[in-house]
Amino acid sequence: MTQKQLNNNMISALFASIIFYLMPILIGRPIVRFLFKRSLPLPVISYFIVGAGVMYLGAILSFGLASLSSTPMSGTLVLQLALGVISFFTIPWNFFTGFTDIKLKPYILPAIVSVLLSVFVYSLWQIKSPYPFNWDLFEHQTLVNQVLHGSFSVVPSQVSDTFGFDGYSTIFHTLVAYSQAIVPTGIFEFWNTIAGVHFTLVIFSSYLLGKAATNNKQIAFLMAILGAFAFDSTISFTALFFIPQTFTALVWVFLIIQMIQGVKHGTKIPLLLVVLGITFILFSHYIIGTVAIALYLGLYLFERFEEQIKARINVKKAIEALVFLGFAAVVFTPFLSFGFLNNGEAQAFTLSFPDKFTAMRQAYGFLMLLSLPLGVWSVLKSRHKAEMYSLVILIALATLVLTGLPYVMKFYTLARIFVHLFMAIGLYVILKRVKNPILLGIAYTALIASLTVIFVSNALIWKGILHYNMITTHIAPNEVQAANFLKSNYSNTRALLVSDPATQNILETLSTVNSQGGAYMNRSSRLKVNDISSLDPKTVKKDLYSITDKLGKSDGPRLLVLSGRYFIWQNASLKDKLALNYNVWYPSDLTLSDIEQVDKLLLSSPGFKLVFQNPTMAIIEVTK
Amino acid sequence: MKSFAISILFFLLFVLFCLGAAFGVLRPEHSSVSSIGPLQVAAYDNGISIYQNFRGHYYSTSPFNDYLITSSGKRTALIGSQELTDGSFTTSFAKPTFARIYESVGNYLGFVTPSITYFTQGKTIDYKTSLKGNRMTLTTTVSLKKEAKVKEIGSTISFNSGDFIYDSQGKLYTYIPENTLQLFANTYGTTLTPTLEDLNIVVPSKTVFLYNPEVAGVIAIHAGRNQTLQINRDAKLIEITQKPNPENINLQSISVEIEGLSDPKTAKQ
Repeated sequence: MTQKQLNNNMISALFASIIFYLMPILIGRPIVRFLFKRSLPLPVISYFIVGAGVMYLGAILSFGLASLSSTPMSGTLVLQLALGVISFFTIPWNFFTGFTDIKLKPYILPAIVSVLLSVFVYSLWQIKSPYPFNWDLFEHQTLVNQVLHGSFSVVPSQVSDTFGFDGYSTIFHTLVAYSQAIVPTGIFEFWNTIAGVHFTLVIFSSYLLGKAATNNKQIAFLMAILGAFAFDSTISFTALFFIPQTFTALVWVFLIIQMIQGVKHGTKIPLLLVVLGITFILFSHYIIGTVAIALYLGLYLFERFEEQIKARINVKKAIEALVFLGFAAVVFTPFLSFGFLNNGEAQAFTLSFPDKFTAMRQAYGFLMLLSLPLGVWSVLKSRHKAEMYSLVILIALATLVLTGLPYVMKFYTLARIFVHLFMAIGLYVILKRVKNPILLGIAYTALIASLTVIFVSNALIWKGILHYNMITTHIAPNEVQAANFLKSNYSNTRALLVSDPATQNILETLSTVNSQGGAYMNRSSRLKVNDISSLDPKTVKKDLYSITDKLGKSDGPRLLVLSGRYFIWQNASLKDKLALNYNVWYPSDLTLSDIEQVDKLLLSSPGFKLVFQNPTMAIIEVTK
Repeated sequence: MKSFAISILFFLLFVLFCLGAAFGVLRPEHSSVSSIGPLQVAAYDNGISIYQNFRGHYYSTSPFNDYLITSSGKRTALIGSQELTDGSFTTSFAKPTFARIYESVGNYLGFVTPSITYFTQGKTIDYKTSLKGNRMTLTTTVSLKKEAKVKEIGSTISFNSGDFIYDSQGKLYTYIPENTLQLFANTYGTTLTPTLEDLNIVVPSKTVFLYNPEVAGVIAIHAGRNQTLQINRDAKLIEITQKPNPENINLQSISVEIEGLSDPKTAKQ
């Protein structure tokens, strides 16, 4: 690709990323303004939710109508038509009425700071790395590809067999599909760019929450700084990965900010918008969403009915009881076993207390240990209302994250911003006594330098296994080349890719050639791929043709992909091969020993045709 | 004045906070890992090693193998077996925390590359790497505390059974089974002729390629104009030797150029 093509790709990716957020806002704004004449705090989040909801309903309706047509329609066209109709009735209204409801001035400086921090830290993260590090993008893009192709459902597992567990609806994927339908762009460019936009919004939301909860600009800026540099690189990935759980958390944070601003200005959030907000969150991620909704509703109802609640319940004792129960849960849940859940994946996502302490050190060094208690002490002393509410939310989420239950580290994506709030307050306890502006400037510089060291150390450990040919990456350029070959030759066929889970994950997404489950191959398929490790031709043919995709037609030729990763995976234990959480995460070229096995298979029997080979993989078309 | 004193006090406290925060970071096993082509380079307890992640094959330069030849013709390792047994040497491998943090961050940003220093009673042995693209210059510097009559200084790179060592003329200096040689020739278009008559073989072309069928990459080792490259099949070492620098007999330095290539086809080119 020429530099000009690369630049064009980046520009289109930036457009597509901005459209992801801007289009729902422009669609939702006239609807919200029509329904609610009064001004709302932070109205943009309500516009986004309503607009995104309308776009999702539009997609459901459009795909439903398209399914009645005798001529199959491409999903891209369906989405373009749907968006065209929705936009026709909504977007022009924005320009007739002006934008007096959106007050930009208080947000300009924080937005600039957020962009600067985001560019600096994201550049550090992506150093020597041309491809995104978000491994999950492959499964989500696979679903987006299916939607753009014309397969649509509210249930992900009905669109792609990569999703064995339906943890969310397809709202996230539909919104991504809309962006890619309007502005076609390179897959990696899109996910890299939208991650950057997401990151900027995470930092910006950190500032806004800090300002809303404490009314203190310094604390707000400290939160923005923490939001930029503290990367929760174990399971939750809030800042740098654009995935359903982090997207849900971001929307939830903006809703919390809206609520706090509403309380401060004496503006009630209309019940309909509350219902729409929680519905959106739930559809975006059922598990994260449930906890997020519980906290949001708890806050909303307490604020609405504070007097009545206090008249009936001793709130202090209720909170003490909850803290006690939470403490008991933290102490006793590590003794339970969850190895039976989700093919053993649950056990891998159950972190012990020492593991969580290590994860904390990886993301924060000792900063959390030093500043958080100071922040909590300061809030308990001052007892400001918004800060006390935040403390209750922090305790609830921290308790959940610290229990020995599986997958609870995912909830850190919600807890993170409240942890940062109290860390920022703790840092402010010291900084507020530094009155000299030069010393204050040096202090902030020291903080940023310290956080840079922490972030870089975090990145080093996370990327430790990903060295490949002078870059750090999950994916090799040769794998992209192989995917392009597959796309050009097999994308409109019923061929089925078979390889190790990681190779399938990458190639299915980039080539749109189907595989059984991508990285989430089911147990039966894994056993069959294990069975062909000796590469006996009869066994290979039999097993390959017995692997099927329960969703799509897979009666075409089998494409056996023998990659460096495949051979490494085949050398793993059977237990590892059957585990969903075991993958060869790093790219690996073929060795001479690997090539010897490939040659042996090709020479041994008819029906094996080498269709592609590069230093990283050989693709063999296996006919019956 | 009082206000300024309070500002200073809390400023210092805050800076200590920041240092304390950074002190708690997790550090990777190796503070400094660099890449040369498809291979990685890192410092270990026993020297500087070239390897490929997860392949299990390491090619090391080590003070336990590197040597000096005195004017009497005696070859002595930079750190001998007695010093190894007694443990009478220290290394810079276990650096203080902040030094390791600096090394990690510097390596991530690209201005720190793997290095290690050994300290014995009689000498200081320093290994430094400098990288450009897929090429590395590995420099060994020996600082002697007592004057010694040094005739030659030798830098070594270890290899293992099953490794190919060959030169650009196709001469193979290690034993490889015939079927593996045939597969190599068919795959990479390079026919190798075993040259195994002697246990110590000088390579006139001053460049050898080091390759293993289970590693996806080739190490090219280039000796300089004033250096001799030989294969010591008995000790399984590639040895690069040079005459000492007469201007400062107690400070001797030898540099070896090492390149990481993607495969033997590229090496052939």
